[in-house]
Amino acid sequence: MSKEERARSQVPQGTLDLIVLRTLATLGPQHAYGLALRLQQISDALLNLNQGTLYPALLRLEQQGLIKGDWRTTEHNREAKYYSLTRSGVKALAAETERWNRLAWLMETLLGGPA
Amino acid sequence: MRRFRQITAKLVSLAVRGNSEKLLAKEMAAHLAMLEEDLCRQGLSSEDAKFAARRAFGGLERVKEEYRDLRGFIWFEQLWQDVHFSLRTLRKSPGFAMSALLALALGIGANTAIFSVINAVLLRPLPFPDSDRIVLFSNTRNEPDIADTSPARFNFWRQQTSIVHDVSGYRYGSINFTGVQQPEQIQFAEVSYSYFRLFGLSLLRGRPFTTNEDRRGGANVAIVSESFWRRALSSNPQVVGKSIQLGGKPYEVIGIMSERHETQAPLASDPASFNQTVDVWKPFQIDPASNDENGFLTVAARLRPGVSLAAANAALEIATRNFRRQFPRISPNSTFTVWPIKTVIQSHVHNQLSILSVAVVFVLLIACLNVASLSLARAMDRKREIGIRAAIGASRNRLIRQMLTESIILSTAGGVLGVAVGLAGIRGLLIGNSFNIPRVGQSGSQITADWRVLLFSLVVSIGSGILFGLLPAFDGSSEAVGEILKESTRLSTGGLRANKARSLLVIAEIAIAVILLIGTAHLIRGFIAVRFSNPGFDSTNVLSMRISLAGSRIQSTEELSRVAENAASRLNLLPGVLAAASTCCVPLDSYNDHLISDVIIANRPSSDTSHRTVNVTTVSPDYFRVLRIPLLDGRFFTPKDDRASEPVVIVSQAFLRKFWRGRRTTDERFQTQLVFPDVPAHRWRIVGVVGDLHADGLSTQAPPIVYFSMAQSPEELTQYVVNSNPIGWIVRVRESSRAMRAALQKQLSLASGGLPVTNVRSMDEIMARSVSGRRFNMLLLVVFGSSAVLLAAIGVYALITYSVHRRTNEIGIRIALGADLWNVRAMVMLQGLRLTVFGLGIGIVGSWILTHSIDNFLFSLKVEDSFALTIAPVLIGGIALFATWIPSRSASKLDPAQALRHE
Repeated sequence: MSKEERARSQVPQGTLDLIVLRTLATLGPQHAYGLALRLQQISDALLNLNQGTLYPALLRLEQQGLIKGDWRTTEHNREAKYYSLTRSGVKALAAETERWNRLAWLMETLLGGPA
Repeated sequence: MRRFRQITAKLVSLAVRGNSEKLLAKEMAAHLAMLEEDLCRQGLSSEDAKFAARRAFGGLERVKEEYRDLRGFIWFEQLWQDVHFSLRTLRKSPGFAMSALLALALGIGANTAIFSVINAVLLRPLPFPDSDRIVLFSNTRNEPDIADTSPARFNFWRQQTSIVHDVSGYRYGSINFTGVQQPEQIQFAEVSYSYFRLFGLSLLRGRPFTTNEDRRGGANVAIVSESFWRRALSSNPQVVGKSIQLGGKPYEVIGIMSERHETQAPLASDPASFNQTVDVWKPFQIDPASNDENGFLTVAARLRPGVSLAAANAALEIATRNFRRQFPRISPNSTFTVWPIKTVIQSHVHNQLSILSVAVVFVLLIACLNVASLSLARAMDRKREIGIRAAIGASRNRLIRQMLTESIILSTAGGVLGVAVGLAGIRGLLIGNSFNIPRVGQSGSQITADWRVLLFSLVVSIGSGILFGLLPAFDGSSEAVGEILKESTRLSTGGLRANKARSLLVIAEIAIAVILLIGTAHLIRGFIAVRFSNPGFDSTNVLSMRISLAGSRIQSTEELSRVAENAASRLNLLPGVLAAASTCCVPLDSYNDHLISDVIIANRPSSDTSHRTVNVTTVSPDYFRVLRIPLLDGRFFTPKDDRASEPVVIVSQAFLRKFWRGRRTTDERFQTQLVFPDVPAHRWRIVGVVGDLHADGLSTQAPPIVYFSMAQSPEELTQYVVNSNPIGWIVRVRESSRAMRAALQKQLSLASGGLPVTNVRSMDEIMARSVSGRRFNMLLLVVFGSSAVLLAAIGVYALITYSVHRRTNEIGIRIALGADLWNVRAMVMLQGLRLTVFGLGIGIVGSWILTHSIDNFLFSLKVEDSFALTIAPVLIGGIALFATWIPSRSASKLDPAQALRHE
């Protein structure tokens, strides 16, 4: 991997989970490919993850009971596994978002103040 | 919460393997397909779209692997795989598995056996409430020697209320239970009223003694044990309030002791009482004003809350001075002390158990070395397999883990077998004889596999598994993979490093076996020296039996001597009887036969009174003839020595040595003052000197003994003797058969007016029992020593055989080139000889270092080291050479043509 690629693909585990939750909250139930597409769109190719890395994250979230998956047919008549937020997922999303916002505010205050 | 759910989900997926693989594949396929479609729509050809999709996705297999790892618990699944694999490979080499299993069972079993004894005696909590605060009284400062103590001291200690409370005295003995169809001699405990509260003994029915019942002249009440109640009182539900006959007197039953307290008798000084069950309890009824200084009880108490042991002992030291003011004749070395019961038990068994613990560790070591050696050989054969696995991608850790799993499975299986064998073995050893070890219960019944024992075995098993598993694991996993794959499986001179390692292992085995065997030889020598040392009398063909006269109508000297005479004449009439005598104290018997007294020599200033104690024994005239104790000067007692004639005594040679430094004394008069209250002084003349008797034990010095004729014994002494211990009869017979024993018993019973006769034993048996503790050690060490030698021999045999096998090619070449039978044999045996010599050398040096600690257990007898040091190496050397000789024979018989073709 080149330096650029390495810089791009370093996403801490926790943040990927949070992104997935947020995406599901905004877009509603998605399958893995849909999530990957959306990720690429919003991050403007900055987050160039290999799409496969979503799967461990999805499994983790599913094991923790924050999302649940069920098999549906897509518009193109294909069978795919759709993930949606559970109630605890919604709560977790809110809690994590608040935590991140607080952290961001703290960092901003620390770094943005008079040098 | 999330973590918990995650773990639950993982556990679920472990149990339900199901379709997750297939579903994942399906999901990923759908993902890829959709990605491909979109790429096609963007303009790529279908081929390019496929590749692009793959690239964007990332490594498929890697994702699958990561997913799999996340799904369940990896380590657990891998462990499961390893276990399956190990079981399969072990099944394929049954020879290895069997021998390893047996060796490990031996090693772990021996350790479990000893640990189970340690557990029963030392680790198990005492069954008394708050047992750390219960202490026993002693008269010595430096060690917890709870010799029998006196009522005077008991009364004194009871007054120390600032440091202790619930001070209770107790003693054990046997008493006649009569008034029923089958009179029998049963075990009793005489106890203070606070005894039950002190030791937390609960009653099934009834109540404990009151203070009124425990005073001198108090009512005759008794508490019976549950099993005695069931057995002898036919579980009569109305038994409380009924009267039973004990020692000729009626006792009212006031309670039944719950069954579980029967085998928990607190420690007393007599080892024979350690594992006895008590049938009946009666109140001690000691006079609180008593000045009796004769020792026959044990005293226990509970420390007051907040009083430390050190504080109590400090207070007692001061108190001793007060006591000495009242009793100036006690020894200046006496200091009253208290010791927790656990400490007392510990001091009893400490020596014994520590030497056994060391021995079993050695046995286990040898077993592990043996199995390690076998494992190394096996690993050499599996090199190719391991190489291939490494090539495919198994990490070193993974390989080691797999081999460790296999060895731990082996050792755990060996451990399970070992626990069963070890426990059965130690229980079997203890059947009928508890070897003076406290708390093991009748026939070892208190030695059980409780959680401590099982945990210990588990830890030892896993530890051994790791020990002998790591060795071949490290050896097998480190070599370069390429090299391994290039080797042919059977090199004729291959595996040099492994061979060296195995040789080292075998040398270590031999060394340890030598050390163990030398220690065993030491102990055997010491035991034989003690057991067969001259006790001062001839014990062959002498039978001994006892009758308890306590509470009978035979209470005075005259009556007792009449019974003795009657009995003697009846017994002498029996065919096959050479001589018969009676005595208060049968030598070396485990009863509290120590009657001691102060003696003052007439016409001598009584200066240092502390060294004037002697053993006192009452005997009938033929006593010395029965035991064949030699007369050194003067004469024996005759029937003419009775109440009407001059009071005379006979002394032992040790008495002379102590007081007259060996000069002739049959004319000196001396005065004996017996330590009884209110006894006027009597004077006795010495009329004879006899040979020494090791009355206190075979390994202790012969004490000075003063013998009284039963007909002339002072009333107070007779009273005391008759009521504290059963009187003993000793008979010299031509041959001791069952018929003879029965006849003797019958005649004695008739002579005593129908009292039961018990403890019919030969003097040889009694002597053997007195060295029981040593015998236990010796027996076990013989077993361990032989196992060690056997294992070491098998180790040598296995190594040499394997080496011959590997060198078949080479041997074939040698034979073809002209080597003859003896050359080949010598070559092989030389290899074995080298190992053996090294091992012996190291072992001898090692045991030289350890010998000094072992000598502590051999008391005062100086055992020559040279015997043990020569016989052990010679024995092992011989066995090892024999183990080498067998493969050497097969080596010399090789057909060179076949050998050359061997690969």
